[in-house]
Amino acid sequence: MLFNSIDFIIFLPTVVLVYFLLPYAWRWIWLLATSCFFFGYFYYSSYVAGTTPVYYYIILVLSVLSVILVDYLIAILINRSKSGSSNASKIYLLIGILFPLGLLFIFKYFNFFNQTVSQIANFFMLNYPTRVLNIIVPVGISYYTFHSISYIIDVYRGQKPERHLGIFSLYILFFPKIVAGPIERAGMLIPQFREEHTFDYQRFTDGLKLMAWGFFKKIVIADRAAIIANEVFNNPHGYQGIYLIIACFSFIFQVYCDFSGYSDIAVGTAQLMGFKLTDNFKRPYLSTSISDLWRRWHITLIAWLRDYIYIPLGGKRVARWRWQYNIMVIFLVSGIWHGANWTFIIWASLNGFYQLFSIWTENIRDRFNNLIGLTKVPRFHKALKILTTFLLFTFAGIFFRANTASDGFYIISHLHTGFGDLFKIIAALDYEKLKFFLVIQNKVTFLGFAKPAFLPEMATLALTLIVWYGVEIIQENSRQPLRLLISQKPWYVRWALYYGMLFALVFLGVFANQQFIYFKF
Amino acid sequence: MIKLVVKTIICVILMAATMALIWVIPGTHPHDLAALLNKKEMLIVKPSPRMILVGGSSVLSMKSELISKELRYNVIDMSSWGGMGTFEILEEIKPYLKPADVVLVTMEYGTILDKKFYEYIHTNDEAKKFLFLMSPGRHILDSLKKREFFNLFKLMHELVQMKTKSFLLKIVTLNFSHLFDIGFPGFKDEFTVNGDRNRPYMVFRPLGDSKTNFSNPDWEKLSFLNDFNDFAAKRHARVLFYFSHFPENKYKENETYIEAYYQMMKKNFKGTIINKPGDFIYPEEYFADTIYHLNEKGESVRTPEMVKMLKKAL
Repeated sequence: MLFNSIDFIIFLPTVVLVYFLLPYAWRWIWLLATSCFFFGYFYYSSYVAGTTPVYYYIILVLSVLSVILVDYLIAILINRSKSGSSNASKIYLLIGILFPLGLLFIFKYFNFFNQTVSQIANFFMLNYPTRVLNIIVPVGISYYTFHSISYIIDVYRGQKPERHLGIFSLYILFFPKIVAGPIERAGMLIPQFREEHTFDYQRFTDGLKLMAWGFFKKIVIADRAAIIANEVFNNPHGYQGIYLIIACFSFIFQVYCDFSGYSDIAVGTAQLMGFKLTDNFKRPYLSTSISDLWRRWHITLIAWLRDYIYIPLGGKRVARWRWQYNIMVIFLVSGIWHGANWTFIIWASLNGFYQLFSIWTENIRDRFNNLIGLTKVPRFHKALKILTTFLLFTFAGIFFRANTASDGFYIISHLHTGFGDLFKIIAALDYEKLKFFLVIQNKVTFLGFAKPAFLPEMATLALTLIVWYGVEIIQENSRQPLRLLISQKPWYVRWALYYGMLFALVFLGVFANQQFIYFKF
Repeated sequence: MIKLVVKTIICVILMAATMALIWVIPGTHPHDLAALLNKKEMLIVKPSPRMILVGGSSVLSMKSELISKELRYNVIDMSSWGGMGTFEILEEIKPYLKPADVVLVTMEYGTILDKKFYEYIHTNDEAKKFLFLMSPGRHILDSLKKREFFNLFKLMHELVQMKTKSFLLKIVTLNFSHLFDIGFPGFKDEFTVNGDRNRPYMVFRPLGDSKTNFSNPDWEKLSFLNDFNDFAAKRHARVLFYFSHFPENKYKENETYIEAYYQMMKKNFKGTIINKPGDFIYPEEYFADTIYHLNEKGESVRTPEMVKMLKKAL
């Protein structure tokens, strides 16, 4: 079930209402049942009789159930073996990690791995027949795999295992976070399932406001920007530099608003029922460096990678070369986690390279900034750093969105094309020609929009981006959520702002049921 | 909990009131088909005798000033792209039909002989929106009778969204003088006073829509023309029909079906047919971007020929 669907508008109030009406002891059952329904609804709504064999779905359900059961049992076994042989607990730990990872590999990476081996074999003139595994990839597999692995490692490190199978299942399947996070630690979430939440008006309305802001980012900004990005990235050879650049920026706004929008809706949804999920974003496009950006972007994934890979590898407390190696490993794992495609690996490598490059050049840059006096104008310096970080991230984002690595390279190599004519026309102030230049020949649409709709849609996108950016800046400066600041204002200011938000959602939203980008990861 | 319910109700009422307000106040809809609203205005305003052109985008390039000058009719070009809902357009015309009016109808070959194209036209949601907008009252009643409440809301909401974005653009660009225009934004720039396109279609090769897959026509799909003809006769108006232009090579490829179309019309249509299909067959160089659109050269041949045919028929 998509958050931005009518089904969810019916589903959520029903779940919340029944949740508060039920006696405390029954609530986990209700949440588990509705989470299973939420998860299964993806397949129910997309199932077309005769197109996909039913056993594909049975395999899919069994895979999820097996992850839950295996990790539930393994955690108990680890806990028991801790008092006895430590070798046994290590073996259990290994099984507990490899089992979900193995399933993740089969479902998500097997075909990619096979194709890559086949390409290498072809290069060396060897015969390696490519076999494609026709299976349905479970929604949110990367997320619940990481949930289960973190749980097993935490138990190995001394956390108590969850003995209640229902509660543990709920930890894996809890519907606000099952498909695209946040990646919650068992130690944070499981105790909340045992708490008795009462209806709290303030908390409830605060959750609603967070959801509204998430929906604003998703349906007003991301889904509108997606139209441009999809049009150009799906056919980059049909477009010149200016369009490619517009599409790159559209995508970079889309991906943030889409994913952070999703996270806000997820956190807000959980908050309605009294659960606290971790914030996944902290205004990354106001970061002053790439390392700062990665502390603010997809926070729960980065924290996971830090705690379960980076630190065990030695983190920063190793030789300098080894530390840099660890950084690169983290980025590569992050790239592979995002998807079975070279584009993600290149995207992650680029970000890793940025990070390393900034380490290598730190002293030189500091000296240079002092030399030209940038440090004497800290505000300008900060703005410049934010802009540079944003542009670098946008550049890497080309590979994140490109359908293939060769598309990505094509786009990069053509970003500068077609400007000669454009500059000449602008210089001549020939408006008619400029209009012609901006209309791609023989297409009834313009950057994905019907031609008459293009300018109104662009004006809407520009305005809403300004609103969003303004909110981000206010929150960055005040260091607290805007909704808390608003709640301190007089009632008429509050209502005017709420009205504006509702107006934007109802009258400027794109209601095309577009999937969230991170659903496919 | 009660506080929450009350506030939710207030929000719903506020949004419903806003939607109603935006629906009521005049504004443009940034969509090609919104020009139908401007054309409907012409239908209301222009005095008799009028010549009302009905058809697809093949008609849009007509130089109707020439018709007006030669035949002394006030021309209203009610055509729209894709031949969207000719039946619906004729229904819209009905209340405004006056004695001595002439309705000149064409149904491009694709819209009758190509099953897929026919299907596309009659299931096109975009067309439905703007046909709805031409007579909202009638369509709302229809939907309510059919209990299509959700579809009705969805359609009206989409139209309000379009209008909102159009307002937004005008406010952002400080274009307040056109804030309350109706129909297609910039209608006066894009269309003539008669409702034809102001600029000729641009020339592109290869010609679009050339993958025609014609089959024998079905009179059932056109019987509404006779109903309209009967209605017009009662109002002392006339209905003329003509076969549209087509590229030579495509005509030869599909001659059997086009001839069957002609024979069917001759046999069943109660109004006047002013030409034969072969009369508007032109070489490819007369066409612009698709097999239905003439370029400047083609149009400067077609319209004078049309005038001659009309003179004969009238």
